[in-house]
Amino acid sequence: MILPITNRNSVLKFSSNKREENSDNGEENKLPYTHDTVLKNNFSNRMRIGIDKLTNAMTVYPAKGLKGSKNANFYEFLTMGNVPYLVGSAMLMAVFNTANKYYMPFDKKAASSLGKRLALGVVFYGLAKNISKNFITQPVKWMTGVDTEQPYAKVQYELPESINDTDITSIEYHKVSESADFIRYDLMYGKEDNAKTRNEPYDKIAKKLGLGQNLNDSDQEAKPRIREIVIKSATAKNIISYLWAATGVGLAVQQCWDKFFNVATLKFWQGEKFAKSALTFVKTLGKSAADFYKGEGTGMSKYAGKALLGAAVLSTVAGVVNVMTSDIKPSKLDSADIIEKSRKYVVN
Amino acid sequence: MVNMIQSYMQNYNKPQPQTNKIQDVEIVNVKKAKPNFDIHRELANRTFIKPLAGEGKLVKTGITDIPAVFVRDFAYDIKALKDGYNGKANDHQLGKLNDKGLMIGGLSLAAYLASRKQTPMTKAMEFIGLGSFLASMSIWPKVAIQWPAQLIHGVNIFQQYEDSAGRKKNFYQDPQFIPWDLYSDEEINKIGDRLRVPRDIENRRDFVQEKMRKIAVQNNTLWMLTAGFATPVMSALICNQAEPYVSRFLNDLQMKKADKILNHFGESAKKLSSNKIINNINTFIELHKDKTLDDKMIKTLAKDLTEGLDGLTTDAVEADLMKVLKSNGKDSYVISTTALDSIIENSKKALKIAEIDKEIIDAVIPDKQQIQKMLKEKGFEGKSFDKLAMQDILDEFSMLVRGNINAYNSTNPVKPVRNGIERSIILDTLTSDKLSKAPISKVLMSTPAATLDARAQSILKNVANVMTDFKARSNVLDKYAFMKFASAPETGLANYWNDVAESLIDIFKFTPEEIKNTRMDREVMTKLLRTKIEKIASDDKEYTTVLNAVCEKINSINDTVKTSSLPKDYIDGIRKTFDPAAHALESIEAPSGEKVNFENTVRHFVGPKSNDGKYTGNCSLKNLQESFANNRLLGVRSTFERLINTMDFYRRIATLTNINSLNDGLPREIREELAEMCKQIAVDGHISDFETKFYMPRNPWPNMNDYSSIVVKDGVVDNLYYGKNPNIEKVDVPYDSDFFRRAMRLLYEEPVHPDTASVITSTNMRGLNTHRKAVFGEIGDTSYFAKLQHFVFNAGSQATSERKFLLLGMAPDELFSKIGMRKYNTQKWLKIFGTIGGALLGVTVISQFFFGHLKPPERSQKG
Repeated sequence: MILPITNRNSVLKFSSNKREENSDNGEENKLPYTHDTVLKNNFSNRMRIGIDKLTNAMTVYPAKGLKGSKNANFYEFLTMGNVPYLVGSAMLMAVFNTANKYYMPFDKKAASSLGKRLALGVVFYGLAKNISKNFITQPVKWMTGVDTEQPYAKVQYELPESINDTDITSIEYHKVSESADFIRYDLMYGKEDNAKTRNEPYDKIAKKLGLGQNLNDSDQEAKPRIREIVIKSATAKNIISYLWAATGVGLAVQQCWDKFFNVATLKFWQGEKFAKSALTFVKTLGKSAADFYKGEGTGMSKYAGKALLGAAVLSTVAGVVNVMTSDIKPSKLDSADIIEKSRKYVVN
Repeated sequence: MVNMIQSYMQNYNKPQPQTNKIQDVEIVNVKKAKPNFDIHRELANRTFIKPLAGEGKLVKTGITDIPAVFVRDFAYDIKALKDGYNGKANDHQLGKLNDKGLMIGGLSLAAYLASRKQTPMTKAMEFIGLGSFLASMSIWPKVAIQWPAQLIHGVNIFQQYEDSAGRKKNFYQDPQFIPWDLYSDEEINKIGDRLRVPRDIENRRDFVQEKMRKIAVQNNTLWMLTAGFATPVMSALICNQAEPYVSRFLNDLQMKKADKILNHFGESAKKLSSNKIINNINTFIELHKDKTLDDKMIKTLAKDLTEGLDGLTTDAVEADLMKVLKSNGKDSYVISTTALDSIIENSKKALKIAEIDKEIIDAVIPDKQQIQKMLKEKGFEGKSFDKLAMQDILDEFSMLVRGNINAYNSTNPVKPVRNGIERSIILDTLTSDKLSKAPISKVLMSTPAATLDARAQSILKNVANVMTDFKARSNVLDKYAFMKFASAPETGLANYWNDVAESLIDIFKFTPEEIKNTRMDREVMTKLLRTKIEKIASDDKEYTTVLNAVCEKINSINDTVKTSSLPKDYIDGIRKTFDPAAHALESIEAPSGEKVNFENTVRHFVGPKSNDGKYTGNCSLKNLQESFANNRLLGVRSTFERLINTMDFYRRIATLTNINSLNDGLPREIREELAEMCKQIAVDGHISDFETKFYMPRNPWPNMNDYSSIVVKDGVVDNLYYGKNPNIEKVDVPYDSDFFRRAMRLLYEEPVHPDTASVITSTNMRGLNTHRKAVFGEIGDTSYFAKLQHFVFNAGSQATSERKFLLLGMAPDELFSKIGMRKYNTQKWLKIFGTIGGALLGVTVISQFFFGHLKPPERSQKG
């Protein structure tokens, strides 16, 4: 049987391989990974990856990009794409607030009340957009066993920039299913000890997906379905995250935040005051949610909040339901289970 | 592919197992495997494994292609959504869905935020904000990155290509995989020439490609680094600049809508009609048919009949119903089912307040049976009675109480109800107050002898019809008046005010520095404005130019509000609304042919009748409907007319023309005081200054020997006396009514300067003379107790406070101060973010001159 192409057994001598090669002579290795490695999808890893990517996006990648490095690639470009989000958010807050201090007292009060709420809206937009993706990821993971956000560290072999450039390996953090066209199924296999352990993760997924148990080739059975799950999840996430983001802004623009801003402090070193602010924040968040839902006045303004929240919730539920629905049938079920005996069939 | 072939081979070579099992279903093999299939031969055949020829191409879209491209892209996005939903989308399609998600989320957010806004403009700006943000996301890379790069290097770094599968991608999206084959040698060489790559180097194409790649990577990085700063600023600047245009567009739309509803009055009334009042009455009748109507019910009926109208109309209708629904029009009453309980409760409460023991109260107040028995015996049960009979009931009730007191005393000899003490208090409290206040009669009076019988039902239904029709019509008038004249943001008049006010700052050439300095203090603005007007007034050409600009701007009311006065259609509409309603309410038909007059309501609608039987309109809703719009127009116009008058006065002083009231037999010192006061009042005077006949600290002992004329230099009075001697203690001179009269004449009665007259004629600016005359007469004749002789004709102006306030308009310094403050905020914001935007654009463009440097290889050695 032809195995999937992988660099798992690669013998190429790059710096990332030094750990194995040099383990005898104790030479310190620069990179933590010798080959593409799946990472646990936990909070600490996500934070670490986030910080690593952000740091690189603000330092190494722009430096490479501005030099026009031959190693600048699409991953780096995409990672740098976070910079406009962050800078843009800060800038948006500045647009609403910077000039306020120069205004006359009444104008200043009105402008800064609105400005602060809009600044909070920017924060809530970002938070809601990112958190809401879990509304799809988590139920899907729970019900199918497929983690569409599973991260892995990719060892990238670069071209030497100059003749003296010996460090030609870098680490990129990708997600196993970030490309629907090229899902890294190879990284989803288990231990290579034997066929059983190798297919173990796929066995679990196949079982959860209802494809059967003790399958001879659970990987082959599960892969098309995994692809479908990845695509449907991505579709749902792409739409719903923006609806939730809009809902986040909806919460932030409620009048009740004015009171919060009157008493709030971000000075975390003033322990007691900060704790009180945090508590008030939670209370105000609850109040803003209630106000957002209730609406004000009559007509559109009364129902707009409900409509927006309804759209976000319904689309999320529809997204999850759609992921869980599939036309792909297990190919090797007993014909007795799927064929109606009374009918005449034509097969290829 | 290899897997598939392997699997096929295994199946092909393996003989099919023969089973004897009887098949459940009939299987028909319609396609046999290819006979003599040889995998090695197939693999050896190069045509079999050769990739398909590429069908990718560079995208070159002309302006004319844009609609077709738009439709195609849209179709692609829809297909992407469909494929995504079905789990069949590819990465490119999923990327597109992200863009669509951003748009859907953005639109939802804009719609939500717009729903929280009240006016069309603020609603529209939410969508414009979203649009400008999305537009900025694509405009910035074009303006700051793509176009400069193309001009500087000749390389389009946002060149798009379509791959073989028809997917549109950026050519330099992934610098590791650039489909260079889509560029012909000729094209690359041309770009190479533009990049000044020597022609005679080896592998020129590779070198040019590398240079292009480098420029693209550098620019893409620059894009990512600058977009975060640029997009919000650019979006905000777009919104800022778009606002006046959107405002003008929406204003035109609103004004046309307002004119349309007025021009099609009948249709509009039908559209704005609601059956709410009729339904209210029908429901009420269903619930209370043939029942006794008490005060509360009549109040409810009045509210139901006037839903959506003002409280005074409700009161008038209530008063009419009280009278009309009583059977014979007289005050008569019946005892309702709940009356007895209320009588007992009220009586106990009253005695409790009078500090009578609870024990005594419970014993002396008759119970329900006692009262019922008494009413039955005396013949009051189920019958109506008038006020006289009500007194009888009270007497009978009193008798019952007396009886109870006696009974109580006989059983409680230790603690009796004492004569002259508790006894008197009890009897007085229960019966001797006014009928409408005493605890028993109060209850009886609340149930007039009215029942919701066929007559009452018919009257109510007829009134409901009249009120429904009236409400629909007045809705049209209200809507029109609101859209055009209301004191609310974005009405026609408000837009006109803002437009003129904004322009005045430019016409009077206020610099940003002046706006900054005057914004905090109105008095600083007063000084500055005086100086400005004095300067303008002293220059013939400048004065005509500025006044011309001011008049033309003020005349733009016809462009903004589409009318300069109350239109005839509106006045006709008022007549068509109020008069028929009044006539109908005068004679509401009852079933017996009887005509009922809702006179209070009629009076409230159209005013009392005069001797000749016509409605006078005084103190009526009809009058209010007209004066509301008129007053709004008056307030706005007076402010601008006052500004013109002020300019004219300064001009007259500057040129010493038409100032007879100042010259006529006055010592020079008083002339100077008068000129100074008038100049100041013209700029900052409030109605209170006029009403108190001006407070002017003057020299009580002026020089009475110098009768020379005042001297003016560059528009400023060159004072010989005024303000020259700081040791003089100045006082207001309350007995000098001549001073007030002269001031009023000088400001409002002397003919305008010929230059002003000529500008007014040429710009067709109407209303200034009316304004001057009205202020002179109506404000000048106001009585003031402290300065009794200060009036221009005869003391006793009939003008109301509101009219005088509106007539005078806003003081020019206040007007400029307010506009200045607003202008300062916008300017400050623009300065901060305009500078940031400009600097960012500059840095982005300049940095591109340093991009794409690559050391060319050695030139090829020829020969």
